[in-house]
Amino acid sequence: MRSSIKNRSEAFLQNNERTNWHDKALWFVREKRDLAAKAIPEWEKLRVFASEIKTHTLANLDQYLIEFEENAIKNGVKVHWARDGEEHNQIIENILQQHQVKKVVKSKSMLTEECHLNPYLESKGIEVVDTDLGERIIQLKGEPPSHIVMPAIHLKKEEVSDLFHEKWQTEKGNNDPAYLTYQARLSLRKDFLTADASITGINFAIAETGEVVVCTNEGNADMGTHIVPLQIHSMGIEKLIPKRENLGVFTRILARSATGQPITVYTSHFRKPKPKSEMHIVLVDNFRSNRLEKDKYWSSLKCIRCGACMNTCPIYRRSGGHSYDATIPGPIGSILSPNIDTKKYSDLPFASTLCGSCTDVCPVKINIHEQLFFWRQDIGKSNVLPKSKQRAMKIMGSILGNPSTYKLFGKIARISMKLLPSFVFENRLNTWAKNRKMPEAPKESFQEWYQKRK
Amino acid sequence: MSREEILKNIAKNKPKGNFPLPEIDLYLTKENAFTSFIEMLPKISAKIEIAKNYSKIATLVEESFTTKIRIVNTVDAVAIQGIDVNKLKNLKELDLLDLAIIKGDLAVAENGAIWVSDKNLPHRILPFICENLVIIIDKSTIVNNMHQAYKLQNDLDYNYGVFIAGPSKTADIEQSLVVGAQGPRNLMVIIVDN
Repeated sequence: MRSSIKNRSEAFLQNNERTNWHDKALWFVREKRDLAAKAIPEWEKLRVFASEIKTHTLANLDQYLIEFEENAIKNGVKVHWARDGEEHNQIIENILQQHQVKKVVKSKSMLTEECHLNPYLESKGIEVVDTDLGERIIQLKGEPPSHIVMPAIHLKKEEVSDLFHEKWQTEKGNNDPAYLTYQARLSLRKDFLTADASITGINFAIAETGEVVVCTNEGNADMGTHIVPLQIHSMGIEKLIPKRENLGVFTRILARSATGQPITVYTSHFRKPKPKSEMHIVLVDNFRSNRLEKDKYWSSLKCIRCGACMNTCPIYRRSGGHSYDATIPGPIGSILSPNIDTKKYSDLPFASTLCGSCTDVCPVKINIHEQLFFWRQDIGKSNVLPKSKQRAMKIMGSILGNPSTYKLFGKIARISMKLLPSFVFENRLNTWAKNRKMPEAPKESFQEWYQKRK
Repeated sequence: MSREEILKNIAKNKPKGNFPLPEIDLYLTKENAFTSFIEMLPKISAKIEIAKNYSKIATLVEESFTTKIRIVNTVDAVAIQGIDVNKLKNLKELDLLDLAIIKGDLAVAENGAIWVSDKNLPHRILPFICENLVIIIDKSTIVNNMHQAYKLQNDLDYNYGVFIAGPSKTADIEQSLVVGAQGPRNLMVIIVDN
């Protein structure tokens, strides 16, 4: 059985120093995002535009997909449709087999993570090299990404140094990020020059021109794609936008929200295959068209995968991405994953304080914290929670739902907290009091205080 | 077939209601675009040179890249003789190319990005595989923001195009910024002001 997010985050919290470091590293990115956003006077207007463009596209998604396909075919691109991850993987395997591909270089794609493409291709004897530095690090380490923009944010430079020493015989104990990055550059350059094909994710696809847009800082998507004779782009159907001019909005908000940069170093527009080459686009549904039907949840399909909600989330920052055990961690992952498997991911919407910071920073204005709350209600009703949690919630519900019992229990709690020794409350049965003290009990309830002053 | 199945499911499930495509009204005026652009470049780790005309560029480049030997120059107006890319048997021969000189179509003040397309590139790999990159732009092509940039580009026909904003970089190891990830390790932007 899948362990709970509570158990997994407990493991992450074992090392206090590391937790604090992780927390600070992400908050630093959040602050950079704030500076970048504040430098644009029309920032809030851009968020509204981005949200409206995405909403419009989703409400007309079938027509725009048909328009996109038509224009891509005119450009000489081969378009494929995959109902789920399995079909996506088979389509890609077929294309690669037709070209006798032995080695693929791949740039970042959360979709191929979602479809588990790497293990699938490897089981068919095809070597896959992830070419984004962070992704290469975790690939060598045999771990999944812990963040969608900074996949190796959970690792310290000493660990990267040890890993490179073990795999590539780099200088032992040299922890300089510049040295380590250079070593990765040398190794990846060999991979770029010996690959037979390239796979990329995509950030945006344009219906009116049939082109796809890929954003990177390292230049790895381009390094991979422009040498090999076969390029494949995997895209979720929700990545579509109607017009090229809409990119003006999205290229302004993506990097500023993600890392605080004014734009990614490379924003590459692939329209037609280069001479003597083939270009394929795989359109993937994998539960997205089902989600469109859900009134409360379809707007999560507006997500542009910037990761801003993770960097700001107090739970994510102090639990680490791996605690979520889902392809996409953090607040957005906690509202996306239950759409795919409600039972398996039933604990994720509860891993939130509902503070709403995620919603405040979301560049496409997804009501993330409200959806977390809706999921709690739906999950509560659907009988997928553990029996103990169901019982506890029932008891709490009957106390909080009745004013006189609520008053009575409040009084009992205040008096007993004052009179009884602290171990009665601060023991292993009370998970709230793990690593922290219970607050001092107030003398009176708010209601009593208010009555006196009325 | 999956195509029909997916399209049918979307048609059935898509949100119903009136959700119009917004009119974007953020095409700001062009004043100060040049100043903002040259202020932005150092922030994205790019170097700047300003040349009075194209005949000054060769000297400028030769002075800046003294130890560089293998050069590809794609700009006819610049008097630098380099490797003839049409004679290459394999693009992989461009690995460890010291310097590529290319022309940008337009530049964006708000983020330092320069639009380069295959109209001006003999090979798409050229601005990525080189160790050092020089992009030449005309001062008159600097626009204020991305909205203007995309509006102008609608007249441009291309098969591949890229906005380049600085040398390649990464912060994947402990958030430490390292310039020179998988692409060029230096970017010099030469603005021709005539």
